[in-house]
Amino acid sequence: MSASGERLASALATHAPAPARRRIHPFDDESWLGRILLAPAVVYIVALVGFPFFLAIFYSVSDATVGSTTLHFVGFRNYAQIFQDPTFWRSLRNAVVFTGVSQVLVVVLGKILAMAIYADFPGKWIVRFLILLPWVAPISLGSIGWLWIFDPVYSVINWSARALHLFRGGFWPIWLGQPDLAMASIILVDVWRLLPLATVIILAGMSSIPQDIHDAAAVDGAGFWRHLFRINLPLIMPIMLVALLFGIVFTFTDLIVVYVLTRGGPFDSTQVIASYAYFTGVQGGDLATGAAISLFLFPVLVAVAIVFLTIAKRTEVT
Amino acid sequence: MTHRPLIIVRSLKRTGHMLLLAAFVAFLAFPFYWIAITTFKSTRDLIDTTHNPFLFGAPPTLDNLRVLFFQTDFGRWIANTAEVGVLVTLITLLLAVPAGYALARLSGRWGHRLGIAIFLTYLIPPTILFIPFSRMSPASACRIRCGRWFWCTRASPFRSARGS
Repeated sequence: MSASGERLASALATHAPAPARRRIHPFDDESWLGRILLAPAVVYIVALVGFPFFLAIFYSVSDATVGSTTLHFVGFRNYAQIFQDPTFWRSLRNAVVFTGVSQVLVVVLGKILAMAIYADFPGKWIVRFLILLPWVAPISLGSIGWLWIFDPVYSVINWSARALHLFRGGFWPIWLGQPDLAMASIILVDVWRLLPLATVIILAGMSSIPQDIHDAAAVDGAGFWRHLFRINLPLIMPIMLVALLFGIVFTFTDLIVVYVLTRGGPFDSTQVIASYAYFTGVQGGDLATGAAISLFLFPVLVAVAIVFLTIAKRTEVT
Repeated sequence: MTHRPLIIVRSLKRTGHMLLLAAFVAFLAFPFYWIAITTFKSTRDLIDTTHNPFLFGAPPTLDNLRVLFFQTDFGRWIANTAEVGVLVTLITLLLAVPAGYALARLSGRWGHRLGIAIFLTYLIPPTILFIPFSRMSPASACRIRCGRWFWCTRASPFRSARGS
């Protein structure tokens, strides 16, 4: 009995670790390994995006300023204040105009440019390189270059137009100093900056269309416009929407172009939400109001993202 | 006889294509030409409106670069930029490569949802985030540094997640 008991015990002993050994090591289990690999990125995002985001929400209902170390809950006073602020509504309208006009231009021009560089031609490499430059360069660098192009006295645009006798007499536009022209100028710079990205995304979409679809269309005698509107555009619509979504996110949240070129002027005619929040919250020191202003960006962007991703999913041709 | 118009049409098409490309290249690359030529122009040349601004009206000069390198802390700024650039790239790769790999393999429901959640952080504008950051006390230099690296790294998780 004791012998069999011992044998049983030893059998158990040798068997006991077996289930443990059969239990898969975390590194061999896909779902665990996935969690381990994702954890650092998730922790980082929670600590450096999630935490400040909630801190910003908290600030927006407080009286935080740069100078003070204490803050008190003040309810929705900051929101009530910005709703009565005409500059806020003006910035909101400017941000919508700035984003809307520039992104329509970016998508249309991006599609034309993608079609122009899709086919082979001599010098394709250098043309692609030159076209990509604005996306590679930092936004501030490009904007400073444009600042000199738009200079009120030494603007190269005005010089060339005068030399070509396009501007006569005293006609001398101050690009960044006249409200309408200032808006047009920052839109131009934003188009310049985002056109390469949109072109590359659209180009990728175009190359993913199988060649036999083009062949079938050619055999059926589809002309250029019919081919474009019936085949090309519907097939790349989802990817164009993604390009548009990125453009909207980048433009709506951007303040560097506005900051470098106009500082929101003249008379707040180019002030956008992002720049107004920055001037109020960081430069003006009124963190609470700045946080309240900047929080208006978020729901707009989430709504845009949801709408676009839904449309993109629906129009996807599989 | 019949293919002569075809040749004309084809060459017209080619010319149009080239003109279109030239217009786009001029628009997109001109500011870089402008920055480059302005760098080597003397101030007098720059402010003389009788000079053709596209060319050098006076001999090119390295004077602006001399001021930049010897009369400002430009070397220091380059070092700062390099420090930020290297650290951002390292942190980004360390965090994003494993995460991107995991997201690509986890085709299940929560893997997909997490990918979308990471993408949604893209929608939180930097302005919202640097308002709280600006209040952090200067004494906590580490946090500020983390914040500085973070501005550049936050764009990356999604990029690598889609790329992999």
